[in-house]
Amino acid sequence: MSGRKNTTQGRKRARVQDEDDSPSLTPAVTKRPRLNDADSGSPLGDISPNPPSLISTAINGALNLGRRIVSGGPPTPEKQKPNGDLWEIPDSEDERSKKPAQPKKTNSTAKKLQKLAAKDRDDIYDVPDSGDELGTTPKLQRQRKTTAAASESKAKSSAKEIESSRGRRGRAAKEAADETQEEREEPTAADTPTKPRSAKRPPRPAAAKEPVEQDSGNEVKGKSLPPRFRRRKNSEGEWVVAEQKPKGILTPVGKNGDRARKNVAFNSVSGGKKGKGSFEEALSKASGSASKPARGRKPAAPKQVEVEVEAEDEDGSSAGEEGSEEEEDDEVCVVCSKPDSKRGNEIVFCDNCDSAYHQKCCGLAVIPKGDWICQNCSQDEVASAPTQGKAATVVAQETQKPDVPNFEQHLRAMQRVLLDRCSGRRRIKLIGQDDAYDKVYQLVEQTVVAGEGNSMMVIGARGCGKTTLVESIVSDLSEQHKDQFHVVRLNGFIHTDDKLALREIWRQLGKEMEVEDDLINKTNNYADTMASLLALLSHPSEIAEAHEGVTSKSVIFLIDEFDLFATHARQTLLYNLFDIAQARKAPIAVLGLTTRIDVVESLEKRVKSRFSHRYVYLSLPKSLPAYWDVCKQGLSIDDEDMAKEGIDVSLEGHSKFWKWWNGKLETLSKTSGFQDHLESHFYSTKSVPAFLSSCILPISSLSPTSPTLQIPSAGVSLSPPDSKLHVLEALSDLDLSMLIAAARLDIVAHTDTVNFAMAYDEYTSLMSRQRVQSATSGMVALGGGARVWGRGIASMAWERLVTLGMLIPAATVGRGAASQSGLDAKMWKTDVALEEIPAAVKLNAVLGRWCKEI
Amino acid sequence: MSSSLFQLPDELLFSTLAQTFPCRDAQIRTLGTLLHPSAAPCQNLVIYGTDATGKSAITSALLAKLENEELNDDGTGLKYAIVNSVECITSRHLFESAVAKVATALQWGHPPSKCETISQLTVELSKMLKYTPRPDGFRFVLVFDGIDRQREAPPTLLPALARLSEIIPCLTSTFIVTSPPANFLRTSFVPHLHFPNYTKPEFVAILATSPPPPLPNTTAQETTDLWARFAAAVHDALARAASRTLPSMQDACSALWPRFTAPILAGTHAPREFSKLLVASRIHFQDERLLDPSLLTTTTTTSLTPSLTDLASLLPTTARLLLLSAYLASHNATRYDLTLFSTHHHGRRRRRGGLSVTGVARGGHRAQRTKHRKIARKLLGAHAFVLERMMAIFTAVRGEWDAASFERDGDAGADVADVGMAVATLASLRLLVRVGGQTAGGDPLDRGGKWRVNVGWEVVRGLGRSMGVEIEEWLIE
Repeated sequence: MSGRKNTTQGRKRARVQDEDDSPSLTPAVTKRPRLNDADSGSPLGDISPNPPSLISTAINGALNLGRRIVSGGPPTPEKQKPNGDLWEIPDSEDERSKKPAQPKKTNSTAKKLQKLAAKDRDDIYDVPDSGDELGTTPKLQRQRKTTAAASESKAKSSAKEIESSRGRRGRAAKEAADETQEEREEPTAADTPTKPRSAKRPPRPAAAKEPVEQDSGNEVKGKSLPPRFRRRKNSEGEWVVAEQKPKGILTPVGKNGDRARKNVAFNSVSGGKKGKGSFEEALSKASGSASKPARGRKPAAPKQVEVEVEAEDEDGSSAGEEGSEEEEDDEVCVVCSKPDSKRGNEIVFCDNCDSAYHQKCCGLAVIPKGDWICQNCSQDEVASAPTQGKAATVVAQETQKPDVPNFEQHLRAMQRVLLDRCSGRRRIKLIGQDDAYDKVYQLVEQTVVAGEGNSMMVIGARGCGKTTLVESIVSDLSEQHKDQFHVVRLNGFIHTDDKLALREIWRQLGKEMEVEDDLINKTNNYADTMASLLALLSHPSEIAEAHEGVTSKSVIFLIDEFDLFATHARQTLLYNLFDIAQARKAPIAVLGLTTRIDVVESLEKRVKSRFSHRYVYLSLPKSLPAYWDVCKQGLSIDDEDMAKEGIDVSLEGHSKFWKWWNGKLETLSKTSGFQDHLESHFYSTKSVPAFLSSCILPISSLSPTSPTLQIPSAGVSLSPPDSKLHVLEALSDLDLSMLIAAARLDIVAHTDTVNFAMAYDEYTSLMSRQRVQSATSGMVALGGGARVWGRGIASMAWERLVTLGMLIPAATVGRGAASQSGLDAKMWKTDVALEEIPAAVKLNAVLGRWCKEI
Repeated sequence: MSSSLFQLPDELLFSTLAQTFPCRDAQIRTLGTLLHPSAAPCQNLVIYGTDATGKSAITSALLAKLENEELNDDGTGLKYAIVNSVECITSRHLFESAVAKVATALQWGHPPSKCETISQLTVELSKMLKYTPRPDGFRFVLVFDGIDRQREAPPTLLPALARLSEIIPCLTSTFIVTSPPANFLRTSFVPHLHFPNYTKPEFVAILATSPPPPLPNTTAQETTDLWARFAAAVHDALARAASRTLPSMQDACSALWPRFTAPILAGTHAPREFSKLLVASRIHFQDERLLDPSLLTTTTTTSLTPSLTDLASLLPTTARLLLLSAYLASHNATRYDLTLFSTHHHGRRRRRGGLSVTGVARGGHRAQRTKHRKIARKLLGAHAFVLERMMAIFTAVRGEWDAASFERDGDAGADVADVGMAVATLASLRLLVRVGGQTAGGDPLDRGGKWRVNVGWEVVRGLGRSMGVEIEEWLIE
């Protein structure tokens, strides 16, 4: 390390940051510019080759080790003097107090020590604080601290060493009264005398300072006061502002500041003086104007955890690296969320998940010896109530069966008809489409009867009844003019090119015209098929071989998804069909069904000119009553349709039953729930089939014992999912963590593509930050969120996300080089935005915070 | 049709199925209603849900029951065929297996020899189902399992399959998918049936149906109770946290159970003392290998394995050096090469590997203070480099990292055939990958060829440490 430092010193290339970078014992360090960016180069990098995330996770262990050593014996008076130690001891005690074997005793000792600590700490806070400390993010502070300590321990690797240095540091802090300064000192064993700088900076207002003292005192003195609430009461004014400053400074100022430095890797640091000036400017700016936006960013009642963290950082600066452990003092009962722990109602910790409970809240009369496990972990609810599965959903609501003879028979027959209608197997009447019906009917009839060639386009949205219209016309016509026409049905989805379509026409006509199979099979050639088809269709007089005196039958072509036929090469089929229709070679009618209103634009010129430009537009119901009129057919049968639908009118009780049923339907349609259901369908899609499908299950659940229709029903819904976000509910915590990490990178790092390595790196860094924040550092709780899963498991989670379509490949992955690189490097896009995740699934607190805090 | 009345499937059918598939009662009932010929058979039906939620299993079991039931009954009947897309390589394969399965289900005499397109599929199915007279209430259910994973599927495949039931009235097409996009069938409306993932009580209830054999010194009841509690604990510790599917939870439970009950067998704890057992086996609950069986196998084998899989012990020094220089070439920008490897000034390499200078972009924590932080270059994956550059780096680095052989061979040693063979070896092991036009071939030792390193950061770090090199110091972000 020293050799490295020498070179940097010796290089003297006027790089200011080089000084920062060397974590040295030389006095040069004290002259460092106090700039946020300035020390971002960090001693950490120089010392250890590991990425910081790795370090800090690894370090936690080291820290704990050190603490354990210290707290092994009873606290000795020498150790109680320096601040650092004071914070050390209660802490470790607390850790032990989790074992409720002797919580009382430990609590009391802890209290004593904490009182002492509070006293000592008061001294520290007597010195006016510099505003400087506000300029650094608490989290970063802490990280730097831990890593710095780690580097020490790595260098000398002795827990005692840490202890003593911390003690010295504490004293240094007292003298210097400059907390930030002191922090920066930490890496350099804190021996060098520091220059007090507080005079330069505006001292922190007294109002802002006092709550700190109070709170820290209260907090420590034994949980008798609910500190957070007090803090917030105090906090309305200055306090909140002071809390907010770190964030306000960090993010916007660094970007918009008047420092003209770019953030390129090599010169991330500016010159000393200029940097300092701009920093102070920024500081004053932040304390003045930035306070408002800062407060605006946080809601009026800030989250408890955040306040806790930040407050703790205030005193964390004097307490060395114990910042994270202090939170244990704030353990609140899971049940009542109060932190007070009194004799007889003490807080006990679960030995499995480390959550805190009041004795009374968990019904514990005596603190048990040995291990105690909370109800959550002991899975009592499982043992006590083995799940019965879901209770039968069909419960007979009413049993007032109307007094109708043959009731069951009537009901079953009605259900049959209604369900067939609802599931689309029986056509329902077209309502409000009479104009369109007449136009199309007339055109087709002209073709069939008079032998005209016709073409027409039927345009309308999905589910508005195009097919129903055309099919009912065909069936109506076939009643009158049976055997006078053929129908050929084509579908753009199925007949994906002209060759297929032509063969299909040939097949259907051949089937209807009873041409021999071998003739069909013989004409495999496209040209042959076309020629013979034309021969078949064309007027017999035009073809020499045809027999005289035979009139050809008319053919109706129903072309569904007409727009797809327009995409076929050269539109040969359409050209020929329209040509035949226009040139009166044969009596054919071409009916194109499509959803695209601009379908004619996609036709080639020669095709378009042969099209007759006759259109029929079908529209969805225009008003709610009209919509209900259509939908009603799925729930009731008109009198005139009874016979047609095959309902036995002569059966006894027929009219009585239908009177009863229609009365029921009338009352149902008046209820607000039903109205809402209908309106939601009308205003979202206007789709009749959608409404009818929602009636399938209610109708099929009718029975003679419970003949009351319930729409909307409470049971299973048949509606499609709104988005793929429903998948999120099925994901495990790790899957969600990886997804959130990937989605965060989109915002934080401004990349739209991520790979597994980036997401896992983000996940581990978030997780290690979480572990530092939470009290459970060092103790991996079983069910807790503080567990970092390994790379193997995380890659399984990543692959699961890929399978579920949450991640979509960024580049089209062929079999080439891209697929050969491993999981790490393959780039993906997240299909979910970060803000969508908390809305779609109920997250736990940790994951929720990751989604909110960028 | 006119004479038939509405009739729900037999209640017995539901109850037996619900025993086989616990916690899926509502789904079974709905599915039965929507598929049964005399209930409310739909034309199309979409069943969706994440993996391992019982979609396929319940559908096939229910259809088998319905088919058997109807055989005993009157003329109405139900036949079914299930086509699994995973088993079909191309869409043609899908069509042909669909036709073959339908033919088998209908005991059709002469299955067609080929079926290349959806149009032909329509024709063949129509022949079997439409043009052949069938009894009135006959339904055929054609299930397309995992159709969203069909390979080489044209975009019109799904809408076309959904049209089949319009053309053939007695057909019900059922699509089993993971997560259907909005209106993916391009029809007016299709009923969707959701199979949600199991909740914790459901997981426990399902596992409780198959308790392990009773432990030696306990009663069966005690074992069952303990098993249920244990399953719930496993759910909290492993399933909800990392892998929330039924199979992985079952695996984890069966793997953990012997270790969990070891204190009972040893007689230290009674089966009633769940909390003590839990604390005793807490370490096992944190074992990641439970969820990732592949990790399990590597450690159960002897200590030879790590050395066998470790690249550092497998490769000779030259190859290791080459791999390291390839990694540096892939992950460092070219413009820093001079800074890193030049000996121009004082004979000593001024390497300032990414640590002192950058600061901002290094690692996760550091960079959070900038609004948009840079992503560490090593996370971005390997970039392509020219072989010449790698060889140059290799030459520059060799003297420092592998002084012994450098002394021995001198500067000329870099070019000996040993190096060429090492490159070829690395390429054949696919540790180095030729980028672009690798099929075009040419000499693999062509100095102008582009290559990319194919090993990750962890491997390279280990490799570097095996030679006493911290590769991190040589990377510039």
